[in-house]
Amino acid sequence: MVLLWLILIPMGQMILSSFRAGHPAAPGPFTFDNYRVAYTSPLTYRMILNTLIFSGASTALSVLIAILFAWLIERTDMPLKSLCWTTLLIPLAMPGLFFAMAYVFLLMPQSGVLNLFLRSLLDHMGIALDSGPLNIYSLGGMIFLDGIRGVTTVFLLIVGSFRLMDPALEEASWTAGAGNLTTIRKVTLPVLLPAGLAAVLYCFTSSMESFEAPLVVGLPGQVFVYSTMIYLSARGPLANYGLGGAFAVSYLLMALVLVYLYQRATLLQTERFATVTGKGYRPRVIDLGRWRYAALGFFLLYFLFTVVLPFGVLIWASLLPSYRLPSTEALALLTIDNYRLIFNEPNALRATWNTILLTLVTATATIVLAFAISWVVVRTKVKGRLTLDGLTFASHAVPGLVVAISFIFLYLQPPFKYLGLYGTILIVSLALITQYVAFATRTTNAAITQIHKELEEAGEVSGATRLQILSQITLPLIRPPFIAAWVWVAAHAMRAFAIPFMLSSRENQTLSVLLWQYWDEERNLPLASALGVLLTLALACLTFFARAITVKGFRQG
Amino acid sequence: MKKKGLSAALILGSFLLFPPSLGAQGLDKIIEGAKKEGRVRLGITLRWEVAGKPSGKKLIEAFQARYPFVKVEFQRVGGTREREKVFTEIAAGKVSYDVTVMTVTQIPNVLKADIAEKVDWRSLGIQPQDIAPLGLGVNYQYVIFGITHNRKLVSDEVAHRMGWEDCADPKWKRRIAMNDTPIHLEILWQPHLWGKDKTLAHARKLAANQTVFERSGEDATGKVALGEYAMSCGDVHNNYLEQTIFKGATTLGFALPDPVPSTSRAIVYIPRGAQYPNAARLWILWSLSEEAQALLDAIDFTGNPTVMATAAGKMAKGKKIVLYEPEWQLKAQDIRKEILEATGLPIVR
Repeated sequence: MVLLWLILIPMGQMILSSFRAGHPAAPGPFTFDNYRVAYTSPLTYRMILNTLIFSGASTALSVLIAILFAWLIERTDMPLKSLCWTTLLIPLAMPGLFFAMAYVFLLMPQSGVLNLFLRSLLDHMGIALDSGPLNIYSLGGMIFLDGIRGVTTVFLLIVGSFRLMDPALEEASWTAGAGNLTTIRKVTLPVLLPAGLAAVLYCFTSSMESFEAPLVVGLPGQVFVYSTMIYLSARGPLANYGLGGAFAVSYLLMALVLVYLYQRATLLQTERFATVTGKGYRPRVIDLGRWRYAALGFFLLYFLFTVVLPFGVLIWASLLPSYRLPSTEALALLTIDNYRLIFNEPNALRATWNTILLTLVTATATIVLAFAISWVVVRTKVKGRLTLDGLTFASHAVPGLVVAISFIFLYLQPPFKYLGLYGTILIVSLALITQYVAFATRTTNAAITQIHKELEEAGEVSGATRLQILSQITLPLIRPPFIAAWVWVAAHAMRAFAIPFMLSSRENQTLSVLLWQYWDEERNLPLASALGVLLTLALACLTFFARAITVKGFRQG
Repeated sequence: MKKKGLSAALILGSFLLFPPSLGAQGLDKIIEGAKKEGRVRLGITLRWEVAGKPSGKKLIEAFQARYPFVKVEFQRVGGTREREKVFTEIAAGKVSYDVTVMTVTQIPNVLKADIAEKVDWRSLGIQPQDIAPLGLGVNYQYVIFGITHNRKLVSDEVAHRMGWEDCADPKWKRRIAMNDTPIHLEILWQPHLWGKDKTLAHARKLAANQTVFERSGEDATGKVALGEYAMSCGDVHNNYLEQTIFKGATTLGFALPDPVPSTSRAIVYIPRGAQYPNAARLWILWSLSEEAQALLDAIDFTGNPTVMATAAGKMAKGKKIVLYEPEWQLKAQDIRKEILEATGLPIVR
């Protein structure tokens, strides 16, 4: 029933509303016009092409760098590997919006800090340029932002396969006289192909959903993708929600196909698990020789571009009364007033409270719902339990913006309008639960499966009630993965942007939405930067806490 | 006795403040109602502070000094995107403001959703030119449109010689920015000015010239100040004044091509179901008073340009000011749609 309410009814309402004219609050007659307008415009096909190029190229960039890092960290003698592993988590703590904002300061064609530096460098070489050489307001800029930000997620998805890979296969290749490169090409990569394929599809789906980079740099550059077209159709002087619904339907279909392919790829990975074992010895560490430091240099370069430069430029902006390029004159203006202002601003205090509430409610409700679903799927023989599992996983296919627009359609029209949920923090939480429940059930399914039924049966024999078995046997045993899943959902809810942004109102604004308001509506770049710095620090604490719990759970396991 | 004296003074003061056609009884009734309500929630396009200096705060303080019995809750509702959000909220039954703003393109939806309180503004003494189309609210905060330029990149002399057509001159290719809702073009679209064909041809030229459409006029002005663009065409004068006076952007200049398009920045209205309707009426009436208009002009530079004493009036001295006529404001949605299509922007905007 809960899933029906969270997924099927909103999607049904969205599809229905895509055939209607007018505003959801004052719907007009049924019509095919939205589909006619959407799919006869050449702009739409350019938008679809942009989406595919953007998702494909940023996925390729993320996957290539992530594979390289996973290999360097797990299979080679690169120096400072453990430190590199930990620092790779830092980009996860940086909200996408914050990252894109930073690169606007760095790579605006005329006045971006990096562009000015590059132009002066080129000038010394006798090449005079009026602008650029780089332009963040472009498809290339969007790909760069999404690509380098996606590295951590892909790395986390594939690093385990590199660690657990059966070394006997590579040993056999070396014994047969093959060199390092041939072994990598003919043995290592094919063995890791299923895991890599799953990572590619996951990354592609995430890029298709990506909203922050297309919003911050795509819109000024007139590069439109699905997410921005849906946003524009629902927010703007010429808001046309029905048209947004028509875009969302084809977007949803594409996402469903991708999730189906992802599921097939992960099945393939499971079937070929024999090649990735947990044998008690480590694969041979490849000696990089003098390339060791070049490898570390590449990692440091990545760290410079993903953490040091963006974080640095935003700290600089946050310390100024109004944004100025770095200069000695600007140094005299440095102040901490923006931070002081945030701590005294009623809106910021309300947004902080909303964010805390949203994080706690969403994470807890998602895990409780996931546990209930997993319990039915794994531990009972209830009819239709596999359909329940499939439906839960299908929610992963619904992009955040589609969830948001479907909730707008649903909660602005009777009978759901009378629940009074629109504009509350609860509607944002419900939409986020819809997004995260698929991930949470994957973890809880696995955790419950690992608990042998005999343990619960022993409890039953001893006369314990179902509740006692659950609270005293099952829950303590599955606690570590559950806490890890809770922290994952909490961290994502805390930095979530697309859904809280689309469903935001005066009362339910979260910190990431306030960050956008400062940046976009109020044009207060220093204040936006200060808030972004604080939000990143909070997220960094949560990310490292999650890492500590996961590592602890792994060791206990 | 003291209370009675205070009320009498307030009413007497109000005679001096409000337009003479507003009957004493009408105002008396509104003040009595506002007194009982004791509060008003404003969601209007005004900042509380700009670059650390009080802005909206001053206006609220002046109102509260005049009417200490009404506590004001203030929230900024920005441009068109925020106004759409507020409209949706009100339509969903969440009325968070007693006074808020709409854009002309929202008029059809506001009418259909029937969310604006019906008020006889004329009987409250509001001048006809200040009443929004169909009496949905009142016009508030006027702007004039011109060209902001970076003086390091474009000299004042060149900028002051420019006409609107020059914004599409190929010599400025990729160097000019514009707001992605170019309202000045909607005003020029009116038949007694450029008309439809000339406006659309100009919009197409802008697209061919790779004009950069920024998400807001402020965004474009800020980037002109940084040197990202040479000029911003169709910028509003108060963006320029805010940047130069409050934010110290010394690189900026402002030029006004003839004719000078002008419109109200927003339509202020009372949503149906407002919790404090009398206090809302009192605020709106007071905000159109000379005292409030002078203050608004000092903090936000958005006084009526046809009044010479205002910032806009002084800037447009000797130029022909052309207004967005109500008849055409009602068609704003269709006009904007065609202009945006011609500029190559998605029509969902």
